[in-house]
Amino acid sequence: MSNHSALNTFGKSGNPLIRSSAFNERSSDFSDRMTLDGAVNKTAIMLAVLVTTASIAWNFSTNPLVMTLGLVSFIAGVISGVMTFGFYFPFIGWIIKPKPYNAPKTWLIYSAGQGFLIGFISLSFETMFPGIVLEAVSLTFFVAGSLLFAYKSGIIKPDQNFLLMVFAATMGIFLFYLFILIYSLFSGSTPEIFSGSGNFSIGISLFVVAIAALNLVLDFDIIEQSAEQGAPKYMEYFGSMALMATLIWLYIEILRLLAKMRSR
Amino acid sequence: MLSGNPFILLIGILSFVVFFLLLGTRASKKQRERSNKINWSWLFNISKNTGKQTKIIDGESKEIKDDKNE
Repeated sequence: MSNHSALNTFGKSGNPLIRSSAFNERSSDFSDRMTLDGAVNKTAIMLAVLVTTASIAWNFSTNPLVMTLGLVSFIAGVISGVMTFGFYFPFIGWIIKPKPYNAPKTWLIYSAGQGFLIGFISLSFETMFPGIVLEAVSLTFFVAGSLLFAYKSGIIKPDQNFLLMVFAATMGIFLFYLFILIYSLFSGSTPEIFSGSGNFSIGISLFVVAIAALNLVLDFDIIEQSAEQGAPKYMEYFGSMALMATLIWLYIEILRLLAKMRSR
Repeated sequence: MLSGNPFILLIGILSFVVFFLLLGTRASKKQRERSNKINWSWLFNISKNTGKQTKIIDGESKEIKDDKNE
């Protein structure tokens, strides 16, 4: 029996604010909070999965089993992406709302699916322009590293206006790509402005690369602020998935830009 | 197989290492302590059960004082 009778009384209390187990739950909550290191680890693991599946697609591209697996994985990856990031359509709004808490379940399928896509695309570009993949990968990480430095040091300070500008430009690019897709489905060929190597086409590619790069800043901000505010652990997966999605977009756009410049 | 300029490969490897080192580093005070930050908390305040945003934002609740003289 303790000398402090009051402690004994509170220890046996049913009040959740007084029970000691309530404090244990609170402390366990802190271990479930997002950290920067956690986000780095998740990004590295996702990148490793992506590179593995991309290598499979690259090395066994003619194997029908790998081609089927690649297609199925890509579709599953897109569905996983929509289940996590949601789906926004300009002028309509959120058709499917974002569900960041799904990220711990969807990241693996998403990374594997995108890896197959990257593998097949990279191989087709490398066949046409030898050495282009290495240049595109190096440039992607150079751009990402430079922007990350600019963000961490406070040179770029994303605010609400920055978000609106980048979001509007991204939606504009999405509508442009949708138009190109519909046009090519009906005409059977892509317009010169999209796949040509003229000055205007290269200018558009440069603009798209710039917007993809600015989207990286928003991803860095999501990771940094979520960790700073002690967001739930699943935000590590969500932030890493968002970063991966933008890196993949940036890589494909750089690949297309380099291909256009080489074919001049 | 992959081919290309070794100088570009070197830049790529260095950028990759710098990227992952910086990603795990805390942002500067200038970046963290500014007032016009984007509020991303809505992303992790979406309820798993309802799919809607919760009203109470952890760490952002403030005490309301009725009597200003207190």
